[in-house]
Amino acid sequence: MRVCGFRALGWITGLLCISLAHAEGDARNWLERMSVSLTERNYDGRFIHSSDTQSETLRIVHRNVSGKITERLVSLDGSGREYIRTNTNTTCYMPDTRSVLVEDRSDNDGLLTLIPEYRAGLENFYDITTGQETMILGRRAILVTVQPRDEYRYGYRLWLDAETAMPLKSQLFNHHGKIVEQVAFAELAMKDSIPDGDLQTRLNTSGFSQVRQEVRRHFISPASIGWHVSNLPPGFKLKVTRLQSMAGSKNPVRHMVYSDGLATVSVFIEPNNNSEDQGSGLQRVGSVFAFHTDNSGFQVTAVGEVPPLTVKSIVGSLTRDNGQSSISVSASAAVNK
Amino acid sequence: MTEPNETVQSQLSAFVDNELPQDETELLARRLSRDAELQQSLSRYLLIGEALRVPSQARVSRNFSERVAAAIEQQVASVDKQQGEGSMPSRQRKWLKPAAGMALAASVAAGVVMSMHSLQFMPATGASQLAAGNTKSNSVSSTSPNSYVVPVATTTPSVPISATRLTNYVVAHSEFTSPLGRRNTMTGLVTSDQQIEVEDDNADTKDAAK
Repeated sequence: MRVCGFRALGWITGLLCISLAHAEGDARNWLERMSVSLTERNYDGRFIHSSDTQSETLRIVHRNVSGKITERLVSLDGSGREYIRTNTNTTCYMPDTRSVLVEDRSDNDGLLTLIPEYRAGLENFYDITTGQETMILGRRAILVTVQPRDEYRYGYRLWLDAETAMPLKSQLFNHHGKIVEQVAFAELAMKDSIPDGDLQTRLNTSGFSQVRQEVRRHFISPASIGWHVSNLPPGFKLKVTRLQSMAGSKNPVRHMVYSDGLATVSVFIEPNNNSEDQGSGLQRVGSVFAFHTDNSGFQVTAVGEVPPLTVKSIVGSLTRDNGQSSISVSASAAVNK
Repeated sequence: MTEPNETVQSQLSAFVDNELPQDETELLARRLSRDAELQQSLSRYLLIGEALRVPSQARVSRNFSERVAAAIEQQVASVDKQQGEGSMPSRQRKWLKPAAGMALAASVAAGVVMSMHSLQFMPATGASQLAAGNTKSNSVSSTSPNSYVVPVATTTPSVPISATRLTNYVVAHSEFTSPLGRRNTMTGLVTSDQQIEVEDDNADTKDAAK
């Protein structure tokens, strides 16, 4: 009888583990479906972005034609600013300053069409679960909760449309459950096609000053970057190292990307020959935090949609490799994307 | 029934925020009385706006806020001077304020078109061609007298990272985020919720240090 009892307990435990793994896999599947929809579908919606300091209404129009992405994001009641992004350029319209900034890329930005894979290892750092169905905008929605297991990353509550997996509402929250940012659609239309006119600005830009800049990027090996983070927050790994030209920087900027599989942090390194940027400090752009400091004659900055602690920790343990005496990297050392 | 255009949507949002001028409010009210779809849009704005109220969490450095406010007033005064006193509606003034950072970005970037030539690790062809090709548009330098960009505001020593640099970093970073993260990141750039210097004793940091 005792042997049978242990066997039964073993079976139950096994079934529970399988069930939990299946549930987590199901939740990750929802995340991947959401990413696919956000990238590959055509949609036109209005949403309210809300943070602890303000709320603002925006319109987003997203079109995918055979991998050619065009996205228009416009503020409807704030600055009136507008971003239009394609695979080859980003244009920022600033009616408040009567300016237009255009950033051209010589390469086709395939990164915009990449769909991230959410691997099983993600559960080491996040508890990912699906909840009950609710109604959002009159549609059935599945609640997916991504709960961070430590203070180095944010969590998400995502109300995904049951049919399309589009995030009808999302909340970004910290380890303690405090909401950092919310986005909720007031209107969302999934469309078969989107006319060109909806992806063009309606601003009359005559008389606006226009500034164009060309950006070039080269992926390089981690060994060539000459810097490393000696004490990374748990789960974060180096994913990308590259050099790129950047407005306002005379030298190519070193860019390192770290990720835990969901959150990403970029580290930018460039010689400290700019009198504008001085000292150390933390800044914020929406839910993105940036921590900046000087290190051995270089400006180092970590940027990411992560808590301040994470960007500060990464910058704090950024170390220059021995033998690196110059930031200049010859074209021959750079590997094209 | 046609979909409300962006101008009307903007008026709706301003109306919900109680910031729509009286004359525009009357026009909007008339339109609301005969447009059922617009009424539904208004209902959604009201409901969702109510649902999205977030308790205040972050504490922004008071000194920094004062410095930014002073810089913004200077910027507004400059624009007023160019346009003539009293010519800018109050709502437009409000729009100008959060864009102060981007104004800095534009003014610095104007000079960057030139500095791109000095990049040594790549052929300096594209930038110069592009700069030359700007003659069709109203291409200006940072010293253009007709520009709304105010060169004097390009230096804000108290901010660790200039608006230009921070914007460039965020855009470059957004290429490596998830599609959802990218949308959130770009939203942060478009909205006025940006360029805030946060005190070192931010709640997250404090909590983690315990």
